[in-house]
Amino acid sequence: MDEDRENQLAELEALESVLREGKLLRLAETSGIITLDFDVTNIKIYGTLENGERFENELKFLPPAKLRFDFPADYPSVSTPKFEIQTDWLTKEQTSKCLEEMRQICEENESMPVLYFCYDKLMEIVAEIGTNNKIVLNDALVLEVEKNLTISQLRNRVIGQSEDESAEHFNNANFECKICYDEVLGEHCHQFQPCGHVFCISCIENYFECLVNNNLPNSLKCLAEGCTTPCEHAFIQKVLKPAEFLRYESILLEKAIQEIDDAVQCPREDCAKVAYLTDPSKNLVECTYCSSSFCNLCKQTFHGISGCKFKQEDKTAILEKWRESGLEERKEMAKNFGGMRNLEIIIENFENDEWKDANSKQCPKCCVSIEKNDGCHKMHCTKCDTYFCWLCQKVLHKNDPYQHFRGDGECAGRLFEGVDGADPEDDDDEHFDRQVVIGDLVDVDFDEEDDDVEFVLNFDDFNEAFDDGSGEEEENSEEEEAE
Amino acid sequence: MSATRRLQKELGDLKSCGVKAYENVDCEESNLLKWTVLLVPDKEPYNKGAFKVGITFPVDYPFKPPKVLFETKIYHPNIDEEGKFCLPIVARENWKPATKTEQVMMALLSLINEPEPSHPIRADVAEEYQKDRKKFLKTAEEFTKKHAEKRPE
Repeated sequence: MDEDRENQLAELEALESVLREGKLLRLAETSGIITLDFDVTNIKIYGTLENGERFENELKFLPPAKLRFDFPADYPSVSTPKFEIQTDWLTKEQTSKCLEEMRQICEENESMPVLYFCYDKLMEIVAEIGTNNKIVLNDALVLEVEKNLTISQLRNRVIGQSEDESAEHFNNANFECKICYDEVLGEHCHQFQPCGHVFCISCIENYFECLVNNNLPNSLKCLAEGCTTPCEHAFIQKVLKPAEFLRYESILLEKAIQEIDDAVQCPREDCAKVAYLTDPSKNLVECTYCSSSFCNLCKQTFHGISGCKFKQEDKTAILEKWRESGLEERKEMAKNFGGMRNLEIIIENFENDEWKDANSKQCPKCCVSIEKNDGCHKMHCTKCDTYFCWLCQKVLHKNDPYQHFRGDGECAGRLFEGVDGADPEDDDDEHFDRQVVIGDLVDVDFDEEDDDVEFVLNFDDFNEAFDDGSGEEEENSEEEEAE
Repeated sequence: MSATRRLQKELGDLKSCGVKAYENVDCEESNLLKWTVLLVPDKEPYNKGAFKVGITFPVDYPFKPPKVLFETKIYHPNIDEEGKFCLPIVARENWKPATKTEQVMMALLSLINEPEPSHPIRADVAEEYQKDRKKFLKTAEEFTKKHAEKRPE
């Protein structure tokens, strides 16, 4: 290897170690491009578009310039490097001036490595030109070089370069995160716009995660005290883990739906999009995405005019929530049930059911609910004409139902057990039981033989509004009985 | 614990800030998450004493707000008998991680100095404050003299 070549390689190696990574691009062993970044901030560019419209843009940073160099084989002993300056905004005169300055440096340093000096000089003059001159893009040399480049394309390119430059400066700067007080490199930080507050990404992530887990998605804003800058959606997606991001989106959707009166969320888990209440009188909701139709009250498949069938665990959960809730929370709840009126009907029905479960027993044969207010424990179901024991709910022999209470079985001698004021000596004619079933009294039927009064009650009204699914036979009702 | 450095810095800043309105900033020897601060209001009727507040920082501080409670009894429309109060700056839905304890203390002091009778926690005290200011001032002052801490020299 000759001496010039050796010197060239040594010079490039030294330069590479001085410049930031990626700033020296080698095109060949002895040629390349150096990118020059400037610390010149807040500059303006001007120009006139093709249609004659004038523009003026503010740039945060002066766009970078590029210096292309080529070492002849006899550099540095005899000749000097060939230079070319590439920028999107310097004029022909400004470019020539730069080249002239570099030529002078080469002259002054004859037979010496000059690349670094030229680079340094160029940094100085370009920064100075950018600071002190009005930058009019229409005069840029690049428009002569790239014949097809339009002025609006050039403007966008320059703005883009400035933004990249600005991002690069940010990424390489150090910030003290005001949350964790760590010194963090810019590339691990995020700057909210337009407020400009900077925090480290790890703190932002922790904070957003906390908010999403606490159902507070509307608060995903800049972390500075009192600052209301909202966070960009793309950034939220970047910082939240995928599962949390899904949760975040579904909470947002839910909240948005709650704001719209006739919108509900499709209850099909794999759809969960917005559906609309198309027939409020029937509580019919139709999902426009998955085409399913469902009932707005119970969220099950649409069931026409027949009553909702809630699962027992849902019933219990809804009732519990209702009882624990204050007025505001109940209003929130009502949004899921097609309004307060509907929810009140549902709750009333649940409460009826609950009371029925606690106070009535079912006929062992037809399952109708029967309440016993008074009288002996021999029961007669008027619906299916079955006799049964109130205590053990066993079906009794039709011809001699009292046999169950004689002899030595488990209910023997307990015909009146626990019955208030029961006195076997009483005049039977005056004595009758009242056993009432939930619903309206529709018929009274005196059983002369037994001096019993039978109240037959109607469940129809009740069931129309609501059917808990515990048995269709529960249509109408019940009966009662005395000795 | 991510909170350690932050709490140490805040504690240091608060101790050395030299603001007369909050003094005796202390934290439990083995627990950086528990502090006490002595608030020294400068307005009647609370300027006859000082009030100790306890601050408990959650483990995930500063992503969740600290819990602040009066340890000294105070007769105030917005602070209940157990020392609880509502302050938007430390409300869960308003909390910002960049909010410093010093800002919380400032907000608390201004609540003490300027009661907000329109959003009272103690309706009886608020009513007295609005309808019979003289009586309120007298009661509160006596209450302060009886229950509050001594003001630092």
